[in-house]
Amino acid sequence: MAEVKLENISKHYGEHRVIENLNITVKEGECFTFLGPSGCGKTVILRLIAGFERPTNGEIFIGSSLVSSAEQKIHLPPEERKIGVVFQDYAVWPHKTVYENVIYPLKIQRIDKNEAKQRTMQAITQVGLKGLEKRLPYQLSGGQQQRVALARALVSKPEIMLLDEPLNNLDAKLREEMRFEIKELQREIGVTILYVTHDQEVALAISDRIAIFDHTGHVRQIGAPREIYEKPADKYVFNFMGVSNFIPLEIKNGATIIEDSNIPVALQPPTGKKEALRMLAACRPFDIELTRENTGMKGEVKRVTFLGATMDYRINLGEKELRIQQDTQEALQNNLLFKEGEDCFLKFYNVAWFESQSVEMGVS
Amino acid sequence: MGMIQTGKNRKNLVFSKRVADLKKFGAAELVLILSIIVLVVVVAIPILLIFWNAFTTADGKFNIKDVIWILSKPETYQALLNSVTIALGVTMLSTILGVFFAWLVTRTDLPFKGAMKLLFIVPFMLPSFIGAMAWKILLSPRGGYINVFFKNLLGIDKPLFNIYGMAGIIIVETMYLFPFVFLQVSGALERMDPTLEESAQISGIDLFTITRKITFPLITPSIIAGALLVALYSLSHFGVPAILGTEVGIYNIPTLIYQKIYASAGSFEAIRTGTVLASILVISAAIIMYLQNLVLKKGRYQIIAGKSMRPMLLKLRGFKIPLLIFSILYIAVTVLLPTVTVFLVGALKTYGLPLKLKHMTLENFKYILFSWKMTKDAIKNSVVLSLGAAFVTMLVGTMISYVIVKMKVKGKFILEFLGMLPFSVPGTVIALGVILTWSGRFGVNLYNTAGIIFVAYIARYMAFALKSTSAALEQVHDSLEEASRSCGATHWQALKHIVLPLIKPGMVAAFFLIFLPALRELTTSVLLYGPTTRTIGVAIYALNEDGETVYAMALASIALVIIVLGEILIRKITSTKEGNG
Amino acid sequence: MSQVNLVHVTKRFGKVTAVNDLNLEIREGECFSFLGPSGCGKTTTLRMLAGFEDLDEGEVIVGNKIFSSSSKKIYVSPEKRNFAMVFQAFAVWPHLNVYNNVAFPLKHRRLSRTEISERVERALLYTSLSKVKESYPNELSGGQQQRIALARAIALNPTVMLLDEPLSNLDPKLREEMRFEIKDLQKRFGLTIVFVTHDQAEAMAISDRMLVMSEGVAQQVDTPMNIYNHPTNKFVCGFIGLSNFIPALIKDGQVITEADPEAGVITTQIPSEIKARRVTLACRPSEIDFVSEGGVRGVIKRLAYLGEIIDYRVQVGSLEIRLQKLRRRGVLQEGATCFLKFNRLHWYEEQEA
Repeated sequence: MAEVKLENISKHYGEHRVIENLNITVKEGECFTFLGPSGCGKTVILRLIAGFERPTNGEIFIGSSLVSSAEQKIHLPPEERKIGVVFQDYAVWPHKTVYENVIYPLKIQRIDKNEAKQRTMQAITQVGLKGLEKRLPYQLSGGQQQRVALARALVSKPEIMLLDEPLNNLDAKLREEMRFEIKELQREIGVTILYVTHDQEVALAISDRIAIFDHTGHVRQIGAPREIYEKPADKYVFNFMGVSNFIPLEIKNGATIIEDSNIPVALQPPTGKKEALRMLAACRPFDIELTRENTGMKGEVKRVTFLGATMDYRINLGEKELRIQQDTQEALQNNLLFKEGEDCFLKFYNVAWFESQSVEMGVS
Repeated sequence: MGMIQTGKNRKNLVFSKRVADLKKFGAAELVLILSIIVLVVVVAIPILLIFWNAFTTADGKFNIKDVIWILSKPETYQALLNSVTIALGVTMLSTILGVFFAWLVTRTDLPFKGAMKLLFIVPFMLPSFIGAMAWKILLSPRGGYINVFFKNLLGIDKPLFNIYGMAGIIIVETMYLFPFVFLQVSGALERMDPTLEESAQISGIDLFTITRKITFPLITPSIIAGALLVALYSLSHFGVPAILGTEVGIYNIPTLIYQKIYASAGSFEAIRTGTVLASILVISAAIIMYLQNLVLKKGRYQIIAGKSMRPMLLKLRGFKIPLLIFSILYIAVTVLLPTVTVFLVGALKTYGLPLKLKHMTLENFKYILFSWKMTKDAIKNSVVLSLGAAFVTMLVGTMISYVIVKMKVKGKFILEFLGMLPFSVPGTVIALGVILTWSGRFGVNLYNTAGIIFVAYIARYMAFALKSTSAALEQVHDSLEEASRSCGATHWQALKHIVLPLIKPGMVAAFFLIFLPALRELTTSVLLYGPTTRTIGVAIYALNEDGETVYAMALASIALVIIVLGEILIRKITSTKEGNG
Repeated sequence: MSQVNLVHVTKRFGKVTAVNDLNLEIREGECFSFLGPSGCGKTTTLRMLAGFEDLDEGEVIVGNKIFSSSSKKIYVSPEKRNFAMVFQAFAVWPHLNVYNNVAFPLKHRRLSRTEISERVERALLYTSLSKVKESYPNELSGGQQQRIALARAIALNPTVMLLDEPLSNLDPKLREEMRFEIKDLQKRFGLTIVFVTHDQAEAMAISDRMLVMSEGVAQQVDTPMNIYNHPTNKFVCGFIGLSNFIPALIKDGQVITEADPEAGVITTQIPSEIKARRVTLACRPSEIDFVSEGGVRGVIKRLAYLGEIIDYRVQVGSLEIRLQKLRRRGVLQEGATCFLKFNRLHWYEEQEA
């Protein structure tokens, strides 16, 4: 098992600077996710580590070996890096059976026939495909092809595994299942996993640590899932990780009101933050409670949607439309279901505070 | 097999990686340069030499006066006019027929549609010059069997129809070219998203208006694409005008070029006329291809359906039987009649005898296949040349396609450009260009040898190989190769284990795409053959010219059998491959 | 006062019965969904309603006019039904610009020029397409193309608007937006809408009432809330929302699970109509609570931190039970022993073993 180190990595395609000065260390045995919107360069990072691209600047270490260096003109080709890769489209070879697909790496490495057979069957069983060895890919479902790709990546006992959005093409139920299976596998084997995705839910569910990228390829925050979700570094991270409500506020005559309005807001910015006249309060849909007691903040219910386990509301606080969700059961039990057109009162929890979008105040 | 290295090992590793880098760097550029050289020598130079020859005098000076003089001579001018007239006529007729039958077969409840779809495409497989010969036998003014029959029946002296001349040429060419339009349009109609029409129907519009205002505008790009292809083929065609036009003094560009070259036994002036005409042909072909690209790019609406739903079928009701009879008659007259004629006449003991069993024999066929050196040689030449050309072109084409599709080297746009060139260049032009290139100009003289035909075939069919193999390569996603690399395979291993097996069907298709047309072609080899290097097409044509109609037809029958067997074989091979993904 | 009536409608394709004896009433001004997995017969039913398929048995009646009847051999062709239809792949005509896409059907209806342009402009206004009316479909995004189809449908003033999985080709955020837009359009124009989808969340969010189908057979017809809270059978319960199925035994007035009979009592409140001794209980992950005592004992096998929601898998004997609780209520530890209280149960009787 090995750690992966990216030192000052940059990748340019002509004028287009996809990655700039990236420094990341992935710890041994960890499940590390590169999370970001499409086109932010996260797949490029994976390809750099795999060896399919060369860095414009910087160096890449796997374990203690230098595998790529722009400055020293070193580049270890992909076939010598001992990395298991699972591609977004599975890349399962259509002309080979499941068995032939999975045993391929061992054949290339000229592993002893018996050992190869044993390890192959073990990998196939591990991913739950026992009995399907003789099938060809076109006879398999998407999820099964995904597992073939996994088995093939695992069979050579790699030091690290790279997974490039492997769950994208699966339906919601299957995605959930495979999420768990990947996590289970990792726990069993202890391999270091580098995972690329744009889906923050997957990232939260499987990662030990996450690195969030913005669309310019810069890292906004690195941390454990809970840390990123509950203590986001900036507005971008907060917004990316889930449905968000942003309320621009200004402090006028000692009272907090919604920006450009007269509506008072019973929210206190935390002391210790730089004193600012304008701030942004951020809140999750479940962290705004609807209540019938007067909290000083009145909302008008514009839209109610029943989503089964959740009730979804669009509520206007003055001019600002807020998105609020309730657990249907709880709401029913406590008589807190509201109808369209009704008025209600709002209570905020877990508010995150950021510099206002309209005034750049530097790093707090 | 850990990656932990000591200092010394690490240095060695670094060094060997650097060398490996250099080597790989060189290999890619090397293949690129090799590919460019091949395409330049085989394709670009012949075409360039044609323009060079046309527009410069013997001492290399640019000269346009001669060009204008040549073009204004009545015979050249007339040939140009004829070419255009024929092409226009054929295109219009083919379009009407092609669209009509395509619509009939995909959008109505006509019975036996499946069989008809196949039968309408049969003319594709058959060489049109053989068809022209059959029609000559049937409808030549004095001795044509049909004309004689009607003369006797109606007691008149004039023939029912004289197949010689513009009308005959246009009609016969249409019979063999309309499948281009038919295929394009029926494909578009079948694959069209039916909800485009259903949404119109449910909005209250009747089916007739829908066909006019929704369906037809949407397939117009396919119609135009097919029509342009027909125009291109007609302009470039030698066989039918040679058989039905030359005798009455009607020439088009390819037949005029042929006549000039052969009448003058390769005089400088004749070659000059030839290259001037050829240049015009190339320019018109290029314009047509450009237009086709434009139409396809702009007009190709995204109309292909995702879910497979059945398109709406129009109920023909009272028209069903008449239209069915019409379609069957059409197939019978245009496909069956000439084909049967070929076989029957080929079996006649002497030409002119009535077509009765007692006048027929299998001796002719045996003689041609087993005894007559001329025909045996012709068959052997064609088979060897086509097999060889197909094989070489397929391999070279695959290599070049790989560079274009998969390699990341600078300068491959040159290859893309060169590769597209010969697609539209007519066989006559290639033949002429090959003569100019390989008759000693650069030290190699292949004239009158099989070699010159071989080179011409490679030039002529390279574009087909490129198209087919690059399509196959594009289907092989990069990730399939990369997956192999990350399993530990080198670039070469990835090619061998992954890419090659997956493009084999494409390569086989390319092989047959070249082998069969090369086997039966006439246009190119008729300008290049020598006394011992006849091809099947040339042999049939020469026999016909010499008046040996029966032997010509017998050889033609054998050629047809070989071709049909080949087509069946290729269909079997390509369809079984598809099942294996 | 129903708008659409399907009476004993049956459709067969060869040996397969795609729709089996369907009886349905859709009210005027209602937004009604057909929901079910692929192959359940919902699209076939819609197409029979539209007139693209005819019936093997039964009748389709709209207002009081019979549109299709197999016994009376009546079949009104689609263009005469005054419906509008929106398709999954938009079915927007690529060779006409936005304005003409909407105006085209109206031109064949003997309407005056002024009325046509009025209707078109109004439809474009309410689908936010006025600014791009000269553009061609291929210049617009997926969402805008779908709006063209909606505008076209509105301009027709149809009796019923039919939508066949119209949002499946759009990305999730857009899907949500378009849902609201369709709902708003329905309210504004008082349209009767029939909506086909395989996405149960979408059906619940948009419908006034819905039909759940499986293998050609109607399973339940009701409002989304009623179906969610009172699913009539195991299929509906499993198809709508998430559920846990617990095989259970009734013993001396107590309900325990077969997976771990010693784990504790699930409930003692047994509905009076339940006579069987063996039942399958269904329970939604959001309707189970963690309690400190009493309840059914289990071990938290794994938990997934999903942001707002924590997803727990609790092992009770051989059974794995899924819970979803809000993050705000606290996060438990993997491996911990816990006690489960079931707030709402759905009862399905089983035969004796």
